[in-house]
Amino acid sequence: MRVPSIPAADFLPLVPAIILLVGACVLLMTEVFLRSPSRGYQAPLSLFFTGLAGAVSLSSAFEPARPVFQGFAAQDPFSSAVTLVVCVALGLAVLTSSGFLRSRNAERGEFYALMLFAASGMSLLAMSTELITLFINIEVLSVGTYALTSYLRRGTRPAEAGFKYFILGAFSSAILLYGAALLYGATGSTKLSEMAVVLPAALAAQPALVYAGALLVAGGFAFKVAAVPFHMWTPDVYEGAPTPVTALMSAGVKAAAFAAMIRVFLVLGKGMDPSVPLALFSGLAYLTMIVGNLLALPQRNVKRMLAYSSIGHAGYLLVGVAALFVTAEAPAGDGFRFFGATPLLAPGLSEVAARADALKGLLFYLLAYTVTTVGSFGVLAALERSEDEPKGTAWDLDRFAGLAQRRPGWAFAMAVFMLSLGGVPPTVGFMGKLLIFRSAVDTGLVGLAVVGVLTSAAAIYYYLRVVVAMYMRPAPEDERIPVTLSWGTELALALSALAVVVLGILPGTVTDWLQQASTLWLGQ
Amino acid sequence: MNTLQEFFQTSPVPPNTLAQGLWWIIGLPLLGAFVCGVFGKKLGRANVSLVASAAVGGSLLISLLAFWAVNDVRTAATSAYAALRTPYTLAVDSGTWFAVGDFRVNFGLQVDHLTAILLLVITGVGFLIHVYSAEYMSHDDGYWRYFAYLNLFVAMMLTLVMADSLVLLFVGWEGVGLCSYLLIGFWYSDAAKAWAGRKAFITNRIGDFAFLIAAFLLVTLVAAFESQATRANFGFPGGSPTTFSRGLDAQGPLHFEALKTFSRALVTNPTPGGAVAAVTPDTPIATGPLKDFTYGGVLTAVLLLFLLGASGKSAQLPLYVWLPDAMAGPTPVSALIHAATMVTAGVYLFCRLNFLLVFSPVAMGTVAVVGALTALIAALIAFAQDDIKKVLAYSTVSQLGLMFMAVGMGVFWAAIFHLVTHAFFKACLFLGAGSVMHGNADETDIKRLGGVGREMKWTAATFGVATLAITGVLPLSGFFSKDAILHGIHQTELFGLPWVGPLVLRLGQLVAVCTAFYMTRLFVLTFWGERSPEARAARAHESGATMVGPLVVLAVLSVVALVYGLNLINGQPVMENFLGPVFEPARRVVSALGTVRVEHGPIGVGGYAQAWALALLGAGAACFLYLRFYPTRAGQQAPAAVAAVRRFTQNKFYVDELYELLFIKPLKALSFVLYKVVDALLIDTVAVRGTAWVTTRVGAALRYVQTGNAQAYAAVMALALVGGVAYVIVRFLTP
Amino acid sequence: MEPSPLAPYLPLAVALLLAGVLAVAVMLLASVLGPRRPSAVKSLAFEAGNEPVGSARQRFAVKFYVVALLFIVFDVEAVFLYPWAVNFQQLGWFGYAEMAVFAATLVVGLIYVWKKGALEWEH
Repeated sequence: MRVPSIPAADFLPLVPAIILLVGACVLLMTEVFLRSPSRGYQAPLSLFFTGLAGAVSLSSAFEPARPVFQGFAAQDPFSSAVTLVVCVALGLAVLTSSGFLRSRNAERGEFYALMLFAASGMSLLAMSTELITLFINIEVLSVGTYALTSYLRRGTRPAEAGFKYFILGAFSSAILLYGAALLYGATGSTKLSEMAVVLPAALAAQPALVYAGALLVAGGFAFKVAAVPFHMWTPDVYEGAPTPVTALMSAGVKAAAFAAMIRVFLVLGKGMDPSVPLALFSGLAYLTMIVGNLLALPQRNVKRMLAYSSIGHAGYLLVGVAALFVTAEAPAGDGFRFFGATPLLAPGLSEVAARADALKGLLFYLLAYTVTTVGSFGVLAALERSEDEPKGTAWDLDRFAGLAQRRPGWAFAMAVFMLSLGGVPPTVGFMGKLLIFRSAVDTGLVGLAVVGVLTSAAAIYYYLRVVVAMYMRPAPEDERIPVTLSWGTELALALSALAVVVLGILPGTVTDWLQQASTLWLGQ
Repeated sequence: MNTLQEFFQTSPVPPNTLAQGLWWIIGLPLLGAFVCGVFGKKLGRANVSLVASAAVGGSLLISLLAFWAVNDVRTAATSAYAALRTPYTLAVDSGTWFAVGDFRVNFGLQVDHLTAILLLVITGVGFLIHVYSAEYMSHDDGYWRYFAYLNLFVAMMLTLVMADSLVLLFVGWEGVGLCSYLLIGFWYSDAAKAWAGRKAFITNRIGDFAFLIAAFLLVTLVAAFESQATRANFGFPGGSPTTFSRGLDAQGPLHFEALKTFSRALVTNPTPGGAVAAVTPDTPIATGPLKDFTYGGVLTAVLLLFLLGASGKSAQLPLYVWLPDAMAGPTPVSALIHAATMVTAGVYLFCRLNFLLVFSPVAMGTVAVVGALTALIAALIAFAQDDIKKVLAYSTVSQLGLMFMAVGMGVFWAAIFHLVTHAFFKACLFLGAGSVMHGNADETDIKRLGGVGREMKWTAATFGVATLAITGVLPLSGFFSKDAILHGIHQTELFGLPWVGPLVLRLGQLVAVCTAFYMTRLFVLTFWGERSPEARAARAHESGATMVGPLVVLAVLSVVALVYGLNLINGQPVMENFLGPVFEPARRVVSALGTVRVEHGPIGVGGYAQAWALALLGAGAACFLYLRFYPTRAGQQAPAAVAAVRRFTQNKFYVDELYELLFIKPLKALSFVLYKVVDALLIDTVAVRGTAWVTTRVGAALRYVQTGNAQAYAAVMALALVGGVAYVIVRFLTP
Repeated sequence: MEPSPLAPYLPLAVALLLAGVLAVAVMLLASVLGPRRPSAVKSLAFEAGNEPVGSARQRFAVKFYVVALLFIVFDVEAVFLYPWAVNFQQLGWFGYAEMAVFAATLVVGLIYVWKKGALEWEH
């Protein structure tokens, strides 16, 4: 028997994930051994591990891409960037959690440990380059989030949310697995690097098998990123889950799932007619942008509104994904024609440069969406009162009425987040949309850009409704001032509002970095 | 002499080290603004003024070092656009600000001789005015707010002059406009003052719009040039199309070095035997939205738009109307913003873009004529104004007109020279006026003052010195700077427009006489003669040391600044020699294209005598008229003919009313119609509410799909997948 | 014309179809043709001939699930341990370390469960 030799250097890329795992174990142990009733140390402890993981991934961000563990995973700037986004989301979510949990008398180590476990899954998912590894990591992050969703066991809502998420998540995992099996059947390998080699031959022999497999895999990912028509779980689960968990799901899970999807389809796209993934993702993007934003319009429940908005934002991200597959020359044969014309790159733009641009846009958008959405869920978490939850009014728009007078800081932060979600300058949301739509226009996906801009304009309506409520409605007379006060929440809100504005005005450093990372990764 | 030269040319801090610290010049006042604005209420009055003054004082110290360092022979900034080093320039590039596709803007500062001298003016005069304000504003409730704004203004003005690209300059440009608005309307509870602030802001915005369009045109122009330029264009050492493109990729087209390289490449003489034809100003643009226009033509348009922008900020025709109303703000603000610094931004802009301006004699002539007309009209209006600050405001407009004349005729150094001396004596005059108001129960009507000089000796003396300076009496600095302008104009002829020079020169001389007249009138009516019976306070009282101190310093400076005008170095005035490297690119363009013809010659004694005679003529006339013959005080009747002329000028030639009739009323009517029809009906009702209604209905209808039933959710997913797989099977398995 | 790659599966598809049709047909025929005379005894749940006691929808104590979960976890560990033990020599120290980490992770979980008191049957 030949024993595979794995060099020690292969473990280096795993360090951020290992730190998160160790952190989770430490939290579990402190939970059972330190029996003091106060668990205020847990949030800082989690933050420490998160920060450490983030710092390590940042420090390795510019190492050249290389496969590790014989092609089962890869270390590259892309995975580092995604891990960093995950760590940002995790850190902000942990900060908002402590006050939220304490006010519900539910601060336990398991909560943070589960968050860290899930985050380690996200980080590993971003670097998986083999279908089984990828599937296992999806399960790691999913199981963590399933448990977190129904973490607050009392009441029917969390149970319902957890149950739905679990059932539908298992269903989608099965779909993904089925797709992976078909791909394996067609190519005889589960490693992306080997599949890329075999794919042209496999495609010639059994096109239906490959395409059906790709479709099913895409379906599995579409569930995780909440793309229409795989989005229906989103509002129910987002609403039922504890608000900091919702924040982590909408930012971290989305980032990791997008990363894995991009990784898989960049390889599949090389082997097959690139107009197939182009048509697939363009279609998903159209549906997701339109349906997500339309559904958000009539919502008066702000948490549900944010859930639908999260669907809409998945749509904008999908525009960026679609832009990755546009080629300089029309593909041979009839190909897939998309709404008449075959989209082509703008003249003078090389394929690698266009892809790097699109990827930079995607990564920046993920970061932008992360700081904004986690911030807005943070405000929501600070405002909601547990006694309102059974009545279903905990997140009603009326809870925001007159917030500007009662808590001007929160109201300002929320206004900043809403403007950023709506893509209004000078916020980071605007810069993100600008980069994405620009690369859509550069790649000839003008239809997507137009629909994107139109739906963004429509979305302003429901985002501004929150701002209007905060600044122009009087506060209810008998209303108590919201209770959840903690340094963590305040810090998280301040940090994310600052990030939203600063990155909106001075995106240069970050976009430069992402550009470098994207070029480094794609240019090889 | 040699040792002195060496002393000045050896900076105590190495230039490259200092360049890294340039951000602190802006950062300190910004920090001061933050501290005063956020913690001001808690800090207390003394601490606020201390923090604010210390912040500007710190900037002043670093600026002094920077001023020293740009003289250092070792100082050189690398240019990204050509493999060149720009001598006598400190530069720091702090990386990307934003990049959209090919268009990139970096964060960066640069300090050359032009910036260095303005740095000293801004931080120096700014520091004095901060000190002065500590006492002047001591009774005001909004003390901390005032100092926060003032510090913010200084930071923004410094950004404006230190910016290394048009974009960052525009940040400063808008920033000073904002601070000006905030400070004019500082006493916002008074509706008229708040309105004056708004007027200033809106008038400025009209100009800013033109500025933006000009900047966009420049971007397009440089992009077109990049694609069209040939190797023959880059026939200067270190130049090549590749380095130019690389520079644009690294720092963007609105960087001043980019524009400088662009201007240089556009006039490069073809190399002998060069096979490829070079792009010249007469070449039509080959690609892009400006296709078929010539480079020179587009440049002229750009410059005229910049002129509109500059006339907004620098109060020139037709946008000067806001400046006199800006006197509603606190007097130190008028001194700092509306006399010494912000209003000179337009002059600075053209001096900074000197290498572009000299491409177009048409634009130059327009600038010069606009400046001359503004100078004359403002001087005439100033004749009959009775408000001490209004007279000074119109005088500022007039002096700025003089600077524009100089810029338009290509005598950039004289414009900057006058800018500096004007900053000293006009700040002194405004602060003196403030001191007079402070000591006379806020009386601003000079007819109700009189004889103040007896009680306020220091104020009167410094005001007198500054008046002599602005009048242009030998040997004060104003004489030298004004004469430098007039002499420079005399020597210059614009290509194709030979009539502009003499016209502007005559108008300028007329303005000099007028200036002498109204300034003397102002001084005489305020400080000499008998006290008016209608004065609010029976006796004036002299201001305290922190107010008088700055007055004395500024008065001394308005004398000492004459050094700049002496022919000390290489037979050139000090200022001209000093600014030589800055205007070198313009000289290069001029010598290549011949747009401006200059006859060099020393200023003869005759010229000096003529200028002096003009000043004495105006001043003497005023003394005679107001002291001996016609000492008008409130209540006394003037002859009917004189009264009619007076009324006409007193009412500022009815320009405000004319604008009201020509622009504001039609615009209001139009906007009312637009509001009713387009906004209220079409946009609000049909477009906004209609779309919102339709989309909300659709969204609500879609909501019925969202039943909450997990099986249904799974079914939708499954259906989608089945549909997809069915499509694949039909597509690939059917033969 | 090339035969479709799915052609070999045609018999299977036919068999599936037949099975489905048969099942549906039998149930349909039974319900349509058979006589229907319900009585109290006939409607009772069928419990292998005994009298049915209580409702069939009983809730189980959650501790059964915990034990089942733990069993599966350690069962899976054993599944990994056997092949590892067989190849212990070849895998060497690297394999030893890997398995130690794997086991340690599970031990952390065990400690957690233990300290939480999930292993105590009577609470």
